[in-house]
Amino acid sequence: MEASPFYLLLAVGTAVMLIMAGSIVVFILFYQRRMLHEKLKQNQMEIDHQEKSLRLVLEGQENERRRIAKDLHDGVQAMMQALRVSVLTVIRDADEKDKKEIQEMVSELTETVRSVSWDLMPSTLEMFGLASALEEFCARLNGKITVPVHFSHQGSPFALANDQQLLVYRITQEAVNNAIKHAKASLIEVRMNWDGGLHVAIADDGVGFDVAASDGSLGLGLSNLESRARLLNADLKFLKNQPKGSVVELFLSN
Amino acid sequence: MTAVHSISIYSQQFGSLLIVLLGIPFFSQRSLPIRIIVLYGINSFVFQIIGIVLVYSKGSGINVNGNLYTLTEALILLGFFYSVFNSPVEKKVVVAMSVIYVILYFVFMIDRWVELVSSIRTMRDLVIIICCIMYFFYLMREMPTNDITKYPMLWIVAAMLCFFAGTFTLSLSLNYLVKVLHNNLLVIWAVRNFFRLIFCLVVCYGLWLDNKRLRENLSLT
Repeated sequence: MEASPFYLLLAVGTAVMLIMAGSIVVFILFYQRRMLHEKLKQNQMEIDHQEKSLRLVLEGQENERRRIAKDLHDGVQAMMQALRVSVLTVIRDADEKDKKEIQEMVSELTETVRSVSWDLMPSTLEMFGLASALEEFCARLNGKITVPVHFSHQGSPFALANDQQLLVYRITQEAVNNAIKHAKASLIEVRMNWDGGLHVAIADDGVGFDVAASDGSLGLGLSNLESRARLLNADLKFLKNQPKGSVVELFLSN
Repeated sequence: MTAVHSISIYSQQFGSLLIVLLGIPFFSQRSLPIRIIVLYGINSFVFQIIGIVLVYSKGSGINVNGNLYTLTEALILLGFFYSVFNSPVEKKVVVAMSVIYVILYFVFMIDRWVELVSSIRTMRDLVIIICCIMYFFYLMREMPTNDITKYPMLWIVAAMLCFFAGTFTLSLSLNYLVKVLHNNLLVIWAVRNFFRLIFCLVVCYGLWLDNKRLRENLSLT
């Protein structure tokens, strides 16, 4: 055997081995890319499915609230008015003190039913928009609780879909209710700003909270907020307020 | 010795030195397989220095040095694979291959210490190729969810697979080459040395990735 053909044989042998080794490496790289792609696709499908389920659950909740609010408004409130007239007729001969007491009880009951109906589905939201609904929500709370709830509003509102408005309203409602229940605050502020997107901040000067260390009930409330923010494609942040308390910040780009 | 061959020797030595230089920082924080790779770099560098000294002093032990290096290289790389695998089955396979290799090494080396022995080199290449393929199977099984090209180990093992697959045919035909080509062997050996430099540079890339990861971890803490 001469040297030249042997060189060729050696070169071919080496090339074959190198091609085989390179193929293994390239195969692994492509295989992993494909696996990752499949996994990402699967994860995305799971997230989409979860979001769809969540949207359906929340839509169901809102529809049920809307139905109950309508029943309360159209049925129970009308019946309350009729009851009021009947009661006034029946107690015409009663003494003034009892008459006044019964009248006050009926009025209070009517107001409670109206308030529950409004809380369930604020008619202002559909009629006058988000800012007015939140302003009315704060105003109503000021009449009911001892902690003052301030509302401020800046910028020119842009159009939001009905379901978006409802989600922002529910997030604000839940955050304010959390502050009332857990923060032990002396002031709660709801600040809305429409410049460069919708910013809503719910700030309190209470004891503050640690998201990671929150107990079950608070955790569930926060998870509700997060689920709704995810459906909105909005950013939701839980921050510390200065000098004390906490801030829940929601940002929705326009 | 031709100039090209000399340059090739120095360049592969430079490759080994680069592995050591990149591997020494953060040595204590590194994973065991990476530490073994640094040890591999040190081992190669030391044997290459001895080899150069022997060549220039016209010593007769150059082949002995090469044969001994082949054994240490195989054992260090088998140790590397032993530390890489988590599964006991794969570890046992590596141990079995090490034992068989050592036994066959000494069988083939009887009365041949001063020769350039082909069989021990072929066996070494084959054993390392098998381990590399086992590693890639292992990687497929334990497929990581993040970008695999950021894994130092992937580059190191890929470099090993390509280098030892590339030198396999050369090792296989070494006896024939020595007998037939004589001084022409230096040309082939120079090509092999440059190829080893590329192997070292790819291993260095893996070490650089590991350094980057360690630096990021340190900055986080």
